[in-house]
Amino acid sequence: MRYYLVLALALLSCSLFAAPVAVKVTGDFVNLHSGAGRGYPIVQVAIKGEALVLLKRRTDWVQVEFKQQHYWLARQDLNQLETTDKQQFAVSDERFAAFESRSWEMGLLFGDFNGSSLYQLSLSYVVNPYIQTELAVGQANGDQADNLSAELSMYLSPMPHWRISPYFGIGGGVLRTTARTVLVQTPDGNNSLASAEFGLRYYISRNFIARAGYRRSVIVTERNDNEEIDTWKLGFSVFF
Amino acid sequence: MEAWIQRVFLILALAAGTAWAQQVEPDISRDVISEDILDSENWLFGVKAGVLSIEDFGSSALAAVQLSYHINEDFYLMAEYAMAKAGRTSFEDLSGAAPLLTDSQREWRYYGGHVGYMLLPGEAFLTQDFAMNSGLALFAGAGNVDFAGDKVFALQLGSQFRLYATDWLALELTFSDYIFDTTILARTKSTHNLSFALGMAVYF
Repeated sequence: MRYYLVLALALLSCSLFAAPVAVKVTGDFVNLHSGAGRGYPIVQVAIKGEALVLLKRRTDWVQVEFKQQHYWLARQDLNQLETTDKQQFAVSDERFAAFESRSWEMGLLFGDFNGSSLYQLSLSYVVNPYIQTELAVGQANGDQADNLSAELSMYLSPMPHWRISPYFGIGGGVLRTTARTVLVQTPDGNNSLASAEFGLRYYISRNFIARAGYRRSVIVTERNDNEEIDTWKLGFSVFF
Repeated sequence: MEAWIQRVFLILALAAGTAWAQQVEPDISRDVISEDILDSENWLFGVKAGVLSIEDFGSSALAAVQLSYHINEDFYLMAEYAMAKAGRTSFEDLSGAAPLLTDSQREWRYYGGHVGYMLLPGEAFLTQDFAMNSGLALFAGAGNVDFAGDKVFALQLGSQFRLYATDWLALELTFSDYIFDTTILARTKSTHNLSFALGMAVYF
């Protein structure tokens, strides 16, 4: 029984952690750096026909094992290699296809919430290129009150294939207001919130998106009139 | 009979045709493999400890946890949670009056995010033949400070020197300025709270 468990764990770990890949240099040579960045010097060169083992990636660099030492290889140089099964790497800098087929987006936005500084964390699920849903938690600290909001929204992107793509959507949630000073008669409490948003999404590179938006929200209060607030925000998201 | 012969010829012709087609078709399709089969390590988890000077409240011990994501070799995003406990102001010590803040109000908390830029990547030579990879990054961001019974928006600016002990372990020396407004002494003022911390971080 214990052996089966060990076997199962071994299988699981194999599937979780990608195995190293043995490769051979097919180009004239590849430069091997001491670190994962252009600022780190080239300390070794592997010439045509020499064997390397690819270990892992970090940003645009690949860690390799060459003559029992670890070095870093630029991602573009994967073109100069082939695996022992004569497979070549498909290296493309244009990750736009990955952007279009993304399914999760995590974002951090800063902005202005009715005159006070706002920052917001968001998590979105991209249902299809045109529709995405988002859960956003924001905090705004003003001179008179602190606001904590949580909203669930749905956005439509009519032109998802554009690099700068507009979107619009509606959402709803709760807003928790806490008065900051005793001078202002703002009652503490939870209010419902309904909003409409318009914005732009810009695919920068890799898995990185810039986003700017304007949101108009209606706060449902217990008084006779509902309050309307404007939010401007600017930030980044990372997609997976 | 005639139809039968025709059928034989037809079968022969087809067989010959397919055989010939197989001969001339060049095998140009090459096997392509994605770089995604390699494990990627773009996340960095770090802890740090140091000193934070809270304006008017003296210097205190600071502890923080950080989670970063490397977008590329130049830029990274970092989320930070830091905590400290403020001391007493000179006024409280000298006047002998009642303390300005309660014990729980002296708890200082920061949570926020920032964007960092690796400005100076390179090697640091510790001895003549022993060099370690290092990098100096500048960062700017914002978050929230919870202090003196108040929650305020805070800006964070600073720099971080990173020394790579191994490929996955980095030692970090961070200088940072937390800028926020306080209204403890009746009038609102902008305060600069400088910190200096040493930490370590692991890539995963």
